[in-house]
Amino acid sequence: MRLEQFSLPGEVLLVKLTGALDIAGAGEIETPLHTLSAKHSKVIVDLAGVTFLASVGIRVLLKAARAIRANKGVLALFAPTDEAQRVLRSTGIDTIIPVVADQATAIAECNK
Amino acid sequence: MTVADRIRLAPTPADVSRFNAWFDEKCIRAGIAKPLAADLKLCVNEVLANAISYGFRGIAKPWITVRIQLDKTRAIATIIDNGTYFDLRGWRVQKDRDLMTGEPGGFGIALVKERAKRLDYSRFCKRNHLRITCELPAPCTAGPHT
Repeated sequence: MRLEQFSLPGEVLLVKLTGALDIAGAGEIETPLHTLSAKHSKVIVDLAGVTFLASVGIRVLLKAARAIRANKGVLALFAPTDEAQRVLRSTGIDTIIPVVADQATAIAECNK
Repeated sequence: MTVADRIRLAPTPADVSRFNAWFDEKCIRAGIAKPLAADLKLCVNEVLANAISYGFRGIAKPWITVRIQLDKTRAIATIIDNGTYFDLRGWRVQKDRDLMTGEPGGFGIALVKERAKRLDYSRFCKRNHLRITCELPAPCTAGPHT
């Protein structure tokens, strides 16, 4: 699992995830994502490269969203595959974390 | 084409990834539909993750075997392990919980129950045997409303 970060205008942090977010992948990104979440209040996560999403990955994303919200910030997810979207919907995560189609919309969610 | 095979795993995250690569290759060989493969892969991952996290406390030589049988419209995995007793069929996920503040547990079992057409469990010889059956939805044959 690869995690890349890019600073965007407006103090938005783009996190790009690539690979399988299974128990191994989730273990690899949990600490770096948590560290990022403590330092930024506007975080968008690009899920286009996530080839597999299991509940352990959902938990990592949820923990990050909680940490950011604790600082009155927003974490938004964008561009999940159809299968990842299905998992997000089944777990109800899409009701508490914005899940949108593209980067521009994710940035807009952070600036609401 | 029916593909049947088995893989022996250690209860580690690395071996879950090894299972996933193995399973993906078997699904390609069997030519099964992507949604069917995705359903079974997710179910097995959730069971393996649960076993790794909770199932082998105090077990000296833990192991897991996954057997698969893949057909065009049905995919079955039988997961056998020597961990502690756990029948996920009896697990109830709390409804109407606050996901933003509550304990974020139970997602995996809920996903298994949603994706599996059938779950069979038994325990004998101090081993858990969980059989997960996933099926493609039957094609709709009803005609248009008149």
